[in-house]
Amino acid sequence: MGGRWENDDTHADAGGDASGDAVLLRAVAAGDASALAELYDRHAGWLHARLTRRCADPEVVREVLQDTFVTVWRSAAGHRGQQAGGWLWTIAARRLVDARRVQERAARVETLPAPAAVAPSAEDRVLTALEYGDVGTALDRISPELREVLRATVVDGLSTREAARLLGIPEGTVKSRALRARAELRAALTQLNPSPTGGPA
Amino acid sequence: MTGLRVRHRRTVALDSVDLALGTGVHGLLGPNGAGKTSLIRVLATVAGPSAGRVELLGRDTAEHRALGEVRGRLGYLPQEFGYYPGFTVREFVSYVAWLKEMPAARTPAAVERAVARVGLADRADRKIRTLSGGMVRRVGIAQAIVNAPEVLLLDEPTAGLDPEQRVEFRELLRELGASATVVVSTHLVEDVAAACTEVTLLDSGRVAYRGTPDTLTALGETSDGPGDHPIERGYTAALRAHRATEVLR
Amino acid sequence: MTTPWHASEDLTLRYADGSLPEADAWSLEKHLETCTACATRVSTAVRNTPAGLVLDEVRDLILTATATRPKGARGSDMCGSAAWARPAPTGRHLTTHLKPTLWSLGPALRGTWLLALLTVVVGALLLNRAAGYEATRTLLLTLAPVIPVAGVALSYGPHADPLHEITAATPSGGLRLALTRTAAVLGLSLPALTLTGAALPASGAPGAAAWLLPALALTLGSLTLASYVGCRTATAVTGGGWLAAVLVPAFAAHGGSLTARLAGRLAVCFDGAQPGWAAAAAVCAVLLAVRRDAYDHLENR
Repeated sequence: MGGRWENDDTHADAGGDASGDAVLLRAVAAGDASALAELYDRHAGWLHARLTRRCADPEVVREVLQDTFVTVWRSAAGHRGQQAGGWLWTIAARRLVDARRVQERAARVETLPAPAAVAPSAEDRVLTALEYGDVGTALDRISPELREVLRATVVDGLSTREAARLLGIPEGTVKSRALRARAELRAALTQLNPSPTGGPA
Repeated sequence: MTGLRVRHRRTVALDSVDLALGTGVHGLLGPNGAGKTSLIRVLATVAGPSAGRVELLGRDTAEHRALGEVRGRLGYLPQEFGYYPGFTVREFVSYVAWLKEMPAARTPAAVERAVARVGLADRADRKIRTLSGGMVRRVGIAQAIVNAPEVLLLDEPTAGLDPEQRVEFRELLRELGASATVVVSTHLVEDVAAACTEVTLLDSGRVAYRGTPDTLTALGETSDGPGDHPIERGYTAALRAHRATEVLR
Repeated sequence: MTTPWHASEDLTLRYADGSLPEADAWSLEKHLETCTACATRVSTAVRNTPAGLVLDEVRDLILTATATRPKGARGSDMCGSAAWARPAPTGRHLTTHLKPTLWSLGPALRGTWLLALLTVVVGALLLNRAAGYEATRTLLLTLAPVIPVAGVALSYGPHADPLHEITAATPSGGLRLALTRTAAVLGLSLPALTLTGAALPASGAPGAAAWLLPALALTLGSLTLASYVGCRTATAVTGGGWLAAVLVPAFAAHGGSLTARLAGRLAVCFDGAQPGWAAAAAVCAVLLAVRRDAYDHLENR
C-alpha cells in the first residue's frame, strides 16, 4: 500500500500533475500500456466510486469501468486537450447509459460520440454555488427523484435523452422534473438565504 | 447462527454451535470427524440443521424464498465433487453459473474471470478428467467464486494442491476475504496461519476455541505441547484444554 | 486551469466509502474532473476500500488485454473492438446459453437410462417382428410405467448426479431441477414407448396409450415420496410397487398362459382405473407442490 501514497508529492503541484495526464494520454495514444496503467491508477478509483453512487449493480459498475479504459486505450488519440478527468467521466457516463440500454435489451452498443462541450449556463451557476454555499442544504429539501434528474443532467452532463435512458424514465419526465428541480432549488435557496451570493465562504 | 445442531444419521455431528461470522477469512480447524464438513455443509445450505437457526446475509435459511436468494449469493466448494465425463473446465464453470441463475449476458466474462483467477485460463477448454488432482481442485474453486459470492464456503480447498499452488491460493483467499465472508475448513494449521483473519477450532461437534491466528500462536508460545511451530502447539494446547473441560463437565 | 481548493482528507475518505451526502459528493465530483491531484488521492482511498479488489481485477484484465491485443491492430476493427475485452462473441454466447440447459437435463439422458430405453424399444420390436412373439405389447406395457420412474431415479439426488453436492447449494438445484429432468425423461419415454406399443399387435393387451396416466401418476408419486425418503428409495417403492402389483397376482393366478394372465391383470390395472390414475396424478401433483420446500434439503432424507 505504501507506494500508492507516493503521489502525495504531486499534490502540491496540481498544475504539473494535470499536464502529466495530458502526457500520459499522448503516450496511451501512441500505444504505451504502462501509461494506461498509470492513468488507471490515478483515475479508476474515483470513477468507480462515482459510478457506484449511480448504479447499484457492482457487476455493471465493473464492466463500465473496464469498458471506459478500453475506450481510452482505443481512442486516446481523439482526446483534444480537455481535462483528463472530465474526459474520462464523459466516457464512463456514456458507457453507463449504454449499459442500461443493453440491460433493457433495447439496442447494441454504439461507438463513443465525441464528448459534447458543455455550454456555460444557469446550471453552471448552480454548480459554482454547489462548491460553496447552502445548496447542499437546499438539495436535501427536494425529493430524491428530482435530485436524481438534476444529478444526471447538471452534474454528469448527460443530455435529456441519455438521462432518460440512465434513469429509465421518459424524456418528457426528465424535462419536467429538471424544471421542477430548478424551481424548487431556487425556492429552497431563497428561503435559506434571501440574497444568494456566489462568493467563497 | 445460533444453537446449531446437526445430526448425521444417528450421531450428533454438531452440538449447540453458536457462531457469528463477518467479512474476512475464517479458518475452521479441527481433527477429522470434528464436524468441520458438517458445519460447512449446513452453511452452504446443502444440509439443514436438525435444531437451531442459520442466518446467512441477514436471511433465515429455513425460509424457502430467502434460501433461493441466499443460494444465488454464495459459493461452495465441497470436499469432494463430481462432474459429467465430457465437461471441459469452461463448461463446468458455466454450468454452475447457470445453476446460480447468473444473467446469461454476464456469464461468459464471469467464467473467464473465475478460471483466470485460479490460474487455469490456458486450460479452459481441456476436459476436466484429463487434469491433475490439484487442477480439479482449482476448477472447484473457480466454480465456487464464479458468481462473486458474498459468502464463500470452502471445504479443504488446499487438499491436493502443491506447496506453490497453496501459496497462490492463500493469496487469492486474502483477496476474497476483503469483501466477502470466507469460511475455509482445513486440517493444515499453516493455511490458517497464512491466510485467515479468524480461527475457529472444532472438536467433537463443539467449538473448542475461537480467536485469531495470532492468539493461537501466542497460546502455542506459552505451552510445551507437540508441534513444530508455535501455532501448531497452540492448536494442540487449545484442543487439550477444551477436552479437559469437556471431561470435567 | 487552477482550482481554488483541494479535497480534505475527511472528504476524500467519506467519498471513498460512499458515506458522503449527495450535495458534497456532487461538488467533489465536479472538482475531481479538473483536479488530478485530488482525483489521484480519492482513487488511492477507494483502492483501500473493498472496491480495491475490483479495481485490481479490472486493471489486470485491461492490461492483459492491451498486452495480447496491441494497438497496431486496431485500425481495422472499430466495430469488433466493443467485444475486445469481453470474451462474449455470439458463438460462445450461444454455448453458455443453450448448453447449460442441455446439461441440466441431467445424468439420466446422458447415460445408461437412455440406453435402457433404446433397448426396450428395439428389443420389443425385434421380439415381435423377428421372433414373431405375439404378446410383446403385454410385456411392454408391464414394463413401460417403470421406465420413466427409473429415469427419475437416475436423474436426481446424491446417488444419481455426480454434481449433486454442488447443485444442492444453488438456487436452481431443488425441485426446479428435479422437475426439469423429470420432464425430459417423460418427454422422451412417453412418446417412444407409446409409439412402440402402437406398432405391436394388440393380441389381448390394453391399448398402447393406456399406460400413460399410470406412468404419470407413478412418476409424480415418486417425486412426492422423494420429498420424504429421498429419490432412490421413493422410486424403488413406486417402481417396485407397480411391478409387484402386476406380476404377483399374474403369477399367483391359475388358468391360461402367463401372458394371458398378465394381460388380464393389466386390463384390471389400466382399463377400468384410468379415472383413478388421473385422480392419483392430480393428488400427487398437489402434494408435491405442498412439499416443494422439502427439496431445499433433500439430501437429509
